[in-house]
Amino acid sequence: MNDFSTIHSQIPKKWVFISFLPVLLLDFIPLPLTTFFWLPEFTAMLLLYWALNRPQLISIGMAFWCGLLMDVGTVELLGTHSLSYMLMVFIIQKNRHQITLHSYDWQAIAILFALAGSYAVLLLVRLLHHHQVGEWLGFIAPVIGALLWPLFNKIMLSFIHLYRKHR
Amino acid sequence: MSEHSLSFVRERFSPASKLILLSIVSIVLMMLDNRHAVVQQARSQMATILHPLQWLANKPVDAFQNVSTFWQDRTRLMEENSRLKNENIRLQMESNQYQAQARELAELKTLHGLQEQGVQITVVAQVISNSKDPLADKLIIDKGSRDGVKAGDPVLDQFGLIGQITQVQPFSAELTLVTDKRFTIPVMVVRTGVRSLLYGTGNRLDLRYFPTDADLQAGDILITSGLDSVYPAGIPVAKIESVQRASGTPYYRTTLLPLAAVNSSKYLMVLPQNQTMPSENSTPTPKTQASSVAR
Repeated sequence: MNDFSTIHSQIPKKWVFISFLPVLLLDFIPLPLTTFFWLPEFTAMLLLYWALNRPQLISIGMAFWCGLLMDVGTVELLGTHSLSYMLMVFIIQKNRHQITLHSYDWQAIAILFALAGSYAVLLLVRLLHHHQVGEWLGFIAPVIGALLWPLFNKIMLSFIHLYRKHR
Repeated sequence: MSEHSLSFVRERFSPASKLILLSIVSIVLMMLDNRHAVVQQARSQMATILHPLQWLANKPVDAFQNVSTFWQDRTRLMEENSRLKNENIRLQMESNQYQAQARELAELKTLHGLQEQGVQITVVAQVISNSKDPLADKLIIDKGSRDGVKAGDPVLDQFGLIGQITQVQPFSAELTLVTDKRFTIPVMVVRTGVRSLLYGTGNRLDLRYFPTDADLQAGDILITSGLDSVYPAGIPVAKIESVQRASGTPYYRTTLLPLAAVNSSKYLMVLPQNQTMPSENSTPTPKTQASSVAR
């Protein structure tokens, strides 16, 4: 195992779960969708982050629960986000070994596909539920999410280093 | 950490089977949501647990609003102040007139032994969450059963009817917008008094069965007729944007504009349900109520 995985495996389980609270908080901020359609879902990004770095702890089961919380918090049909998050995490974890070999910039491409795939599932469920095609512009959000991926990793790593320093 | 070693022993399901199992669970949840009381209860319990997080998530938005009002320039504030003062005087006059008229009407009604009706105590609420789905037709407000909000209550914004409470938690409630495709609202044309039914279509409103032998013009306002057990009479709902007679159908073809600012209202008002109609079941669910009017 490389150095990074040991860094990540030193974080206790408790803190991994607690880390989901601030991102859920971010996603719950009721911003008007007409101007903020480009904002990626941070819960999805954190799920992908832990799915890549702590696969034994955060996998499909956690994706299911996170999705349910998102559905309740953003008043969606129950199960919509869980389905889309589970597929996303499954695809990423299947190819985890190839993805973690590359640098963050190359990882971002895989993240883009995962986020876009999850948004496609959301669109499909909404299409079946409302009988109407949703917002195509929403596909900008996965692109922004992928562009933010290197920065997101840096932020997470700085938090992890902070934790190690104060331990 | 022990997680890395021996991890394959602890794994009970393979990821693929776990995915399939939980996907089936979520699809079942999707189908049961809005239909089954147990799922609704579980949802409302989760919502209660999430409420502190949502309350916190609202703080930045509130703070931004406070800061932006703080930095608004003086002249604009003064302008707004004088405009509000004028409006206040006008409203006060109107309310005085209304009171006089209401008294008169009450007298007449008691004369006729009729029941009294009208807008009673209201709850003012704030929208604390909107959906990430642009087609979604639900909002969460910050008042719940502790403030006397009940499932089925109509909700207004400053322009007109915006929706109906569909689920209540202790500290919050979920409202479904009038544009939801399950909605049916009994309405009346203000100008002529002709009654009809208004249907939600998902993102708009539709006046499906308005016969062409009655008069209807663009610009007509539709208000609730009060002929149901949900909406008190006289709440503005929609405005006719265009109307045309189509050949081959006895009904008008219309396009409607909801009067309520469905996507941008922040402060809402929850009214108690219309009590004047005899209700047969004591705790009616809003969906059956709305649809029982139609079908």
